Amino acid sequence: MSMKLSRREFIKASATAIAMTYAGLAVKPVFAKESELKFGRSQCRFCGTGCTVLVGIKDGKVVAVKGDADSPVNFGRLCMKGYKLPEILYGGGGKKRLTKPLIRQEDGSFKEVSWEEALDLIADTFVDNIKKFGPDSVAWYGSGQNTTEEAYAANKLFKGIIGTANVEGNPRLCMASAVGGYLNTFGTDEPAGSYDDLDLADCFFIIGANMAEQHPMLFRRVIDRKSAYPDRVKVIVADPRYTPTARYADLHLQFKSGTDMYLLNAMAQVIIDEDLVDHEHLKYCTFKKELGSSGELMNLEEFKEFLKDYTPEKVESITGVKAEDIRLAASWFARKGYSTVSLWTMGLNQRTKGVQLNCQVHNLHLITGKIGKPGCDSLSLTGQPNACGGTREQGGLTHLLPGHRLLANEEHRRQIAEIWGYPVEQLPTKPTGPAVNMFMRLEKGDIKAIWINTTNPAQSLPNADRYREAMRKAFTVVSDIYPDRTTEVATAILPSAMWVEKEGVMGQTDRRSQFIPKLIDPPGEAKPDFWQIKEVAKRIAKKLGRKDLGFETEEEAWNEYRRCTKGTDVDLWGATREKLKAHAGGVQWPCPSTDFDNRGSNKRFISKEYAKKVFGKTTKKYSTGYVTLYDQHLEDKKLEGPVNYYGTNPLHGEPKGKALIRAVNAEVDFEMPDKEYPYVLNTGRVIEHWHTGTMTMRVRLLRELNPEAYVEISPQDADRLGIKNGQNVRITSPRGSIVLSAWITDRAQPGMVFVPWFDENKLINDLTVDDPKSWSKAGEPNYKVCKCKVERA
Amino acid sequence: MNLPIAGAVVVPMPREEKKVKSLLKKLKGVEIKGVGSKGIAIVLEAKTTEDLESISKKIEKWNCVIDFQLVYFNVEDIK
Repeated sequence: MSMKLSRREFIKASATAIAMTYAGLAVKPVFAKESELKFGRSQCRFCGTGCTVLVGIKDGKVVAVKGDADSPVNFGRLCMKGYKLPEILYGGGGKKRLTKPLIRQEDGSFKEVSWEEALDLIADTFVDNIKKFGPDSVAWYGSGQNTTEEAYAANKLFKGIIGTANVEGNPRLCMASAVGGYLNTFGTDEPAGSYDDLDLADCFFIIGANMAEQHPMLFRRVIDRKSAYPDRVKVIVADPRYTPTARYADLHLQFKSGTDMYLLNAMAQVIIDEDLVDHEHLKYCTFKKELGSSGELMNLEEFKEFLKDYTPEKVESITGVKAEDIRLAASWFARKGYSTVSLWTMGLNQRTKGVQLNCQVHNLHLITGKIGKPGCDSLSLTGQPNACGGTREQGGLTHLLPGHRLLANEEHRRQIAEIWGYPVEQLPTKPTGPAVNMFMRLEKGDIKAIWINTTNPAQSLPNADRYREAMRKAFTVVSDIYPDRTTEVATAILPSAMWVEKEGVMGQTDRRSQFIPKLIDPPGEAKPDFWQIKEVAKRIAKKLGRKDLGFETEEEAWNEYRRCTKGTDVDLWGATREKLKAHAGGVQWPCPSTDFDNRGSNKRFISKEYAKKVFGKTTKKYSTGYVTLYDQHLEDKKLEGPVNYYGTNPLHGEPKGKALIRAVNAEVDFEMPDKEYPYVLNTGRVIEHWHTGTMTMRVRLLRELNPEAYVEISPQDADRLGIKNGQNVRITSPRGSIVLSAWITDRAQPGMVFVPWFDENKLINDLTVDDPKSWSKAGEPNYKVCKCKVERA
Repeated sequence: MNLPIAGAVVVPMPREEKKVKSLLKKLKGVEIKGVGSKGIAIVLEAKTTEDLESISKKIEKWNCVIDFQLVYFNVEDIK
């Protein structure tokens, strides 16, 4: 009962905050007198939407936050987490900021040391291991929350100075499958369109995403569009859970967990069978069997033949979705003369067939031509504020180099070595392994020393307890802002500055880069991660007799990184510091032009001529500058054709310039329920908390509203198992067991339970599956479907 | 859960702000949260979504109101 009341209060507070913002009012709960405050423009620290915020400072402290009305991302709106940003800086819930470097002693306690002592110890230990066991004995595990400059400096240190490809990060756990999907389909990563498409779409196809709770500001744009044109606009939500997003939908496709590949192929089957195809757009596409570059090419007739086993009637019994609903969804998606945007997140990405699922969504857009036009896009939503910028674009994974380059490509290595000023031989030539594989090698002892930065793998890795032990045994450096489950197992803890205590650039979902300025000082001796990396790099380079990073400031690092992107599809040459600081909402790449008013490209893959045809114009004016509605890279490179899917990635293959519609066979996930473990365990986030709760659990309101993890159980399953609301329930998987309080709700599908992962005291990831066979083709673990049993505790 | 709650901005016709505020105060389930440069911020609360929509429609139809924008809408009771 108390949970119900507090949730009511929370929703009322959200409604109040948004209504007041729209009415042009300051939001009272977080504001001092505005006239006393100095406001600086920044970006929200939480999800991958990248809401632009104005941060109010008084006496060196952040005391207020409001949405930036000039922002093309959020138009002044913020969600409740955004409004509570000030509180993440100042501790709470029994935890204070880390303010001094700490080194673990033999008895397990931590001793405060000077920065000099900590940095020397880290550099000495890393170099000793490199000399004794080779460069692959050390590793970096970063984050989609590092700034791009931090991620770039770390990438250069590990791949450039040390010469190891052991560079991974938590975006591997959330976005790798999306990358694989874009590469396999378009030959290049990241979406074609922009958030602007949400304001023009006639159909929203939301699959595997609970936008109402996890991307609330983007969902507001969906609501605005639907409210303005209630009959014209259709919202389809495909999700095994009956989430608030699903409740809002015109049509909820509640498929059985793990069967969505069948659903997506069935939608394609209907579109082709009923000839809802855009034959003109098919000129820019071709069909190919399965993933990768080696599959056979097909034609439309062969693709139609391939789909004949996926009629809605045939897949109804597998998916649990009525054939008529699949037909209706396909017909809304493909309506001629109307526009469609698809949106998804972890429900597709964190899956054994995550890459194929991404490709299947792209397929629907390509066969219907719902891409490259106003209100049309296949838009993968990001979970973290800089997973796109710092990791995907910058190359913060083992197989990548800056500017969407590949480590295994000799020419790409040569280009980067030249910019970095190192001999090309110094760079590794092959990727090592994805994130979980890196921790497996840590467990095995092949990796002796690891630096974990701005992330909490002891709570977020699948089968996490296994890797906590591995981290405890190795030399583990952890840079973070608060004590968490990972600092517990660290050898050295470095106190970090966060958000507006340091400066840097972050890149979000729709190819957008925004600048975060330093507005206040960090507490105690906490230092920016960029400074930490630079200082360790200096020491390691000296000991190895190699040239160091070669830059001192974040701005110098950014300018060098811009050079890495110049002329590539992810061209950020035009994203000067001056422009990033001046424009609310930043710039969208490709942005080759340094012209102050040019904010980059709104759409990729389309020519100026084609943009004029479909938009009736070629630029769009914002209050602070212009964005071009066509692909500046395509024009710059003089790529042929009005639409050019210009990929050069080996995963894509021939023919160049065309997108690939992938004929992928439907399969269920690796670990499906069986007799012993008859339920599906699904995990995810909640509206009140973000990721492992390191920041949101410091905010009193959010902590009180949702203090601990619980398990969602369907009324049917609860009835059958004799479980009452609030009763303790034991969830057991082949890897572990946990006791949680039951929330009996129609959010959960019969046969499936859902547990959030924000609670550091109830670690649901001790139960999730880490078997490499359960990972997607892109090395992403499966957090959405693993088997479990459910009992009264 | 049954939580039909919404946030909205009511934009009065010129010189009608007082009248709109007085009408809003008479409506059950409506709280005025403040008056800004772009309108009157209100929160609406009702037993069902239908009731919420009915209040919204009522406000929308007032002659003294030029615009009614629903800016936050919690939909947890919709089946």
